[in-house]
Amino acid sequence: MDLNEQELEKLERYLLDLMDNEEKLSFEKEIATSSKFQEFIEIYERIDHVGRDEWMDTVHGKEDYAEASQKFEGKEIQEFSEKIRKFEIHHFKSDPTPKVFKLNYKYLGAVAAILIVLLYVAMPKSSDPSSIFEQHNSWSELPSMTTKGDIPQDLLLTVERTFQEKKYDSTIWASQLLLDTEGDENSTLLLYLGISHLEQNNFDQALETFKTLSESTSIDYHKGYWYSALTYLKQNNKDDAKKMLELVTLKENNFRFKEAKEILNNMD
Amino acid sequence: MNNNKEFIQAFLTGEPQTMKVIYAKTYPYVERYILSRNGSKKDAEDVFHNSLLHLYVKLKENSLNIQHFESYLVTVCKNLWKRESGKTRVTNIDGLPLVSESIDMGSFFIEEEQWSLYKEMLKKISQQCQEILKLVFDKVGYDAIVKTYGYSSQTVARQRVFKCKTKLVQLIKKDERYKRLKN
Repeated sequence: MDLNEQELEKLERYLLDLMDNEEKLSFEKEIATSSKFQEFIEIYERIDHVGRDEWMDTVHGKEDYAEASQKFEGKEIQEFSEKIRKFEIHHFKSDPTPKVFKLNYKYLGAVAAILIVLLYVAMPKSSDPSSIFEQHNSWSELPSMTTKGDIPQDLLLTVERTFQEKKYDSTIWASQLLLDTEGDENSTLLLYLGISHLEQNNFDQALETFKTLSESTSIDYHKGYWYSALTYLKQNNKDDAKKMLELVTLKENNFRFKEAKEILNNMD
Repeated sequence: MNNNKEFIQAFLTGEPQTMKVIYAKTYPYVERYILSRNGSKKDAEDVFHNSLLHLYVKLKENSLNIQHFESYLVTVCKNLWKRESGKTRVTNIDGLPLVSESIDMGSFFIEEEQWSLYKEMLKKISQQCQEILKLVFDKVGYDAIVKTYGYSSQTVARQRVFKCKTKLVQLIKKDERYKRLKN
């Protein structure tokens, strides 16, 4: 049975902690005897768990478990399970013993030379744009937000926390809000915002953010070139990535100067 | 990956070529996912195995309308890992008699159905409600929510959140799957 408006209003005041102690105690007694209030609160609280991606334990009775468990007990499911297990043994543990070649030492030099050539040929990964991106996307270099005391601390912490938790939508939202209200010259915020866009594959917004950084008066303006290059690499756009990397290599003090040189050398 | 009836039929019979495609295409992703979340290779293998059993039961029951087999399998694997990693495991699947494993799989079966229902309903409420709830789930402070949406106070913002969640509760309660799980 659904709750009427009056009951919903009571629940709202209870769940939002707007009741005084006396009212609260009296309502809790009412909840204890009302299955519809209990049901509402149970679903209401579970919504938070699901929204936060926290797995929920079931509150179902033993009969429910028993019924669901039976689905996994029949002969048929056991046979299917065995079929997969056999396949897994083959898939995960195939060819466990490596073949042993006996080499004549006089051929070792030639073999080594061939191996070096083969290794070189087999290493195009280093010049493959998306592989280069994968090698540089740990983001561990990002400065901490907590040291900045001139703008609202709670939102700064939100930016950093949501970024670490890979909740990039919220990082984008919080950093954009801060940039809108506090001015868009904060290089650290621009980095968090741009990289979050990059992680979400919002390439245009990422590039725009890094462009804002590279055109800003911040001492970190040159970081904009490096992260723009990474954005192009993730997009497999080698030509534009090269142009950005060349900008990084213009000055030795630029962020990731050495890495950019190395990548450019391997790209040619 | 194929999504047609023949592919699903081949999966249900454990046809080797189909299993090979499933393992080659989906397992590496699931393994990376679990390894990057403090799991082991053995965990990944068990999760993948049990997710296939879960899918087998659901498909056999015809209780599943799969749009994309691979995506669904990945979702089940992630959910199963969320569940496994969220609790302190005191048991080893290999060391348990089959009946205990089936109970474990049975409870996952119920939980997974609830989980999917909640997730689906979260997409059915208004766009603004979805946005506000996302901020609440991400533990963004109410101060910031007040500022963004121009609410006059934190209480007003909390009332808005309550309304959004109430809408969700109503949607969940109305759904047949909830009624089935409840009964």
